[in-house]
Amino acid sequence: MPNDARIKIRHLKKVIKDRTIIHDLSLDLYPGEVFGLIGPNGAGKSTTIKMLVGLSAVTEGDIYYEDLNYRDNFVEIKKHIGAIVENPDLYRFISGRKLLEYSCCFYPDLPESRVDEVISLVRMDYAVDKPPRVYSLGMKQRLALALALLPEPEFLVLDEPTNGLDPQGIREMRLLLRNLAEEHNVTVLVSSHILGEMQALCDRVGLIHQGELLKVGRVSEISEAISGHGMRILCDRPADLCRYFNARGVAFMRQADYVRVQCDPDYVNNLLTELMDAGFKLYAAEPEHANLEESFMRLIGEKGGEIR
Amino acid sequence: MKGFGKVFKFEWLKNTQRKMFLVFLILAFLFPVIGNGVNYYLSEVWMPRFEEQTQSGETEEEGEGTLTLNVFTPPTAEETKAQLESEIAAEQALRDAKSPDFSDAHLQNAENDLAVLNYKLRHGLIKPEDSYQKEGYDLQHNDNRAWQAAAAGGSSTLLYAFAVTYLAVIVAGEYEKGTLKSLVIRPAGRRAILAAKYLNTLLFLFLLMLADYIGQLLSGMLLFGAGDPASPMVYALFGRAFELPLGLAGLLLFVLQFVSSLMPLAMTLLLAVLLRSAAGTIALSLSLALIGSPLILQLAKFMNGLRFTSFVHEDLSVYLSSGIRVDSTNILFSAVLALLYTVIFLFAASWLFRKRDI
Repeated sequence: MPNDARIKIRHLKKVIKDRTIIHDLSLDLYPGEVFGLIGPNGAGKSTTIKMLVGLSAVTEGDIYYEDLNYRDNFVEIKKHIGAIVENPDLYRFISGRKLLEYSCCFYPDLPESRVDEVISLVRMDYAVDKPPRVYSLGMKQRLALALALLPEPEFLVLDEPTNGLDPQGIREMRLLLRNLAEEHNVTVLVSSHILGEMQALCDRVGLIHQGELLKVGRVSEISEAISGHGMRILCDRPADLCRYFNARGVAFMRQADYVRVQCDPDYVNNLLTELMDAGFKLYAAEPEHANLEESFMRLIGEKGGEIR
Repeated sequence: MKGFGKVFKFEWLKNTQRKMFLVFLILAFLFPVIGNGVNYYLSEVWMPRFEEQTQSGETEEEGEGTLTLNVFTPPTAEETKAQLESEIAAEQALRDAKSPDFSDAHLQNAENDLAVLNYKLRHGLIKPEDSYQKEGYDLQHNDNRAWQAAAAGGSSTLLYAFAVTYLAVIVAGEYEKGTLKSLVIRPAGRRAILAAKYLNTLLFLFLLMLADYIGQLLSGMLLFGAGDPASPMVYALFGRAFELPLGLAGLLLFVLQFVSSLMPLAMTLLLAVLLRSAAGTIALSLSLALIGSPLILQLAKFMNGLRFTSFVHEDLSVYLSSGIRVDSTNILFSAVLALLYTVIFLFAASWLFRKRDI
């Protein structure tokens, strides 16, 4: 991970009508990474994103874009930001192409070919000349993404970007965002409550709940830190194996013919030897990477929350 | 206001694509055309027939149930002059006696009317024995009708309603539909965005007034003849008369009516930012203009303090046409207060727009 963060968020706080929505949030976002902000509805993801794109005022704290403070240089900074916030709200009376062409007013240095480039990037060629009132949600999402990509942003902020997309669209979106980060060094911030999707897309994630950033790190690190290491065991007598673990106070979970057990990597060898000595016939024993969703559920369960 | 030019251009390109834009422009053109058509029918077709029937009826012996028309005979210029002088003397007496019945507006109007009449007599535009009424009553019956109607700006309330609707839709409507978010994240300051929307509306209003003016002039010329735009019009300000060619007077009134819209539209902008509802903004703005303003104007005749409210100074063109409506006001006083209110409304709207989350 490079040392120089592109976006530095320091002690960010948002208070609305005496209610603190975001508590002391600090975070660094780096060039070339896809960062996922994960949390249930109402956790503060959209509020954080709104502060990052200027839709919502910061109550306390600072945001920096490459050492430029948002407070003093925001119009200049916005030239480098592309964003979709909440729903893809589009003017219903202008065709997608015209909207893209008109939006070029804000970026006089863009080459004329840029509009066609972004249309082809989001695969909207077939519908871009129609007005958005005839678009499906997925098509609106694609056009909103094209608008966000228009200025060749260095910081791309997408709030629930896969809403309304079909599985093929989600896959294309994932590949596109990975490509932007890896090939064009774009910093991508994505928020979602669909954790499986974030696990597949993000380099790092931040878990946010009730306005607090609970954990930040790589998906695998976070999962392991919260859920520990797991192992799936397939044996001749799974019911007996469950009783065996239960009698010894070992955490386990029956999953069809498998028994899932928490186990430190250093102890795997001892555990398997112990089971064979106890007369179990083992057919398979495989490590199981922790699932982000389970980890997150566990974490917010500890905090007394629920995901909606 | 960083990025003002960019956001103004974007707003203009975008808003010209709205159906409302074209529909309102067509209506602004058509209304005066229809109005002139109706006037033409009434004055050139219906009225001669009516007069013909009346004349043939007069030859018949008057009997029970016969309608008798009392034809109004306008006073001569000399008689009108005497009447105005007596009105002025009466008002001056009330003023000297510090009577509560004294009306400064009445005095100023009478002085202006007298100045116009004296000017016309002095320059031979009328003779003392000619029938004479104060300006506005006999405009329909001369060759310059097209120019005079265009100068009168007959559809101004309607055009104002169109401009209010346009402004409410592009500000409050965009709050409601969420499209304002995509605008605010573009590289332009919020102040620039709001200023661009306000100036877009003024440009749209200018086009509406132009369409109305052209519609008025073209249909008027077609129906009533080309007339002479160089023929003199006499106005008075502060009791002093001055002459303007009819065509130029029309342009001056056009400008005054346009400038008079700055303040009420600034108030609409504030309401749009405050209410974030297009329907609410339109309803409140038009209610204030159509009900609130006339009400305050009437009350201001009795409550002197109300002359400082914005409603009294909404239309500067009244000082050149129908006269002064409230005591202790004049065109300069109104212009200064209108400017002050415009600045206050714009500043408040801008402050609120920057302060609130979207």
